[in-house]
Amino acid sequence: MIHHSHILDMSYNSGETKIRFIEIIRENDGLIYKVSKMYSNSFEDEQDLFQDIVYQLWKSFSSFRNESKITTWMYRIALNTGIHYLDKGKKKAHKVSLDETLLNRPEIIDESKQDQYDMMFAQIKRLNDIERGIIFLYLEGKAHDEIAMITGFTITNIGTRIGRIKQKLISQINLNKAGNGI
Amino acid sequence: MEFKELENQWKEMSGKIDNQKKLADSKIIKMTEINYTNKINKMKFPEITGAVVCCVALFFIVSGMHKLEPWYLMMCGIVSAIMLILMPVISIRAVFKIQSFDVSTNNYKQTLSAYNKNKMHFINVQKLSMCLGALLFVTILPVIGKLMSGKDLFKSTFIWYIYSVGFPFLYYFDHWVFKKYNSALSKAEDIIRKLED
Repeated sequence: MIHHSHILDMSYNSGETKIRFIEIIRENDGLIYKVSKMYSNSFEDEQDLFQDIVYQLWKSFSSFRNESKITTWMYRIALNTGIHYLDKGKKKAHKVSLDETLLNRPEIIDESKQDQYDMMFAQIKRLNDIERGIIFLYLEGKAHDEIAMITGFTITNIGTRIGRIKQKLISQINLNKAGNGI
Repeated sequence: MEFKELENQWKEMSGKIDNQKKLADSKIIKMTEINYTNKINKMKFPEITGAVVCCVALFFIVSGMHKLEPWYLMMCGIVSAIMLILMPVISIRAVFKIQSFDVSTNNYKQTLSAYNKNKMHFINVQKLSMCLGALLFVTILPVIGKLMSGKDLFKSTFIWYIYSVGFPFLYYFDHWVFKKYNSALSKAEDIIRKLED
């Protein structure tokens, strides 16, 4: 991952800042895609949320002070936007038309793999909003202190919660598999 | 299934996502320039429509206030006017409150807490609006009757028929909507409680 902190000292709204912003989004669009998928229930919602997150990131870009990694800042804004999107799903606005194949990622040829990923997302979405955010960051490989920084919980509390969420998620998945005779 | 297996699945999927085609620059630029005014207007459409209807009704009542007599029709007129001012104001304020958020300064916990508190406030306002709506139903009918036909509807049986049909309907409708609101309310309360665990 390229560190972009040095590039954020430019004056906001200059053409150069926009170029840097685009670079950061291109570098980390997978992060935005995953948050969009976690906080939406259809492909259309997913597209809307993806764009909302990019918009919010751009709006907040000037407030980034290099006090944390750029991805830590991005996770925070993306997850916060996801929360506010929870009840907006049904209310559509005119949006940028995106290439369907681009956002409908990952392009997986193996159907059973796709099913596995869908099932994984479906089970994560069944968790409550607190659990969903924490386990997402954990699965993204974030350390407890970074999760604590993004979420605002203490490091100890994160440790306790992760233990509980892991158990809950696995029992949900196993129950679902048993129900489907897998 | 073990959690390790799930973690591996996630890593595998993330790797595939990262290796795929990247967004075009022009698309990203467009996303930063979305006209959000349209979106906000669309979200507030029911509230704005309701407010316009209330304003029209309010103008109608206020402009004919001098015709409202005896005293109980005047009282109905005043109460209706107050309801017609109060209902859209509290409703639109609650919508603005739930939609105004700052994703850049707060952390996830603060955002969740603020979001759920605003949601609870919004639901309570909606419930209050429904009660005010029922009250408005009682007071506005005789006022409209007087202003449109010059008749005191309280002296005719017609208004009592309307009340006797309207009230059970309003009761069951409100009861049904309240059940939905209460379920959303308890979910929001639950999240707030769990944030403090």
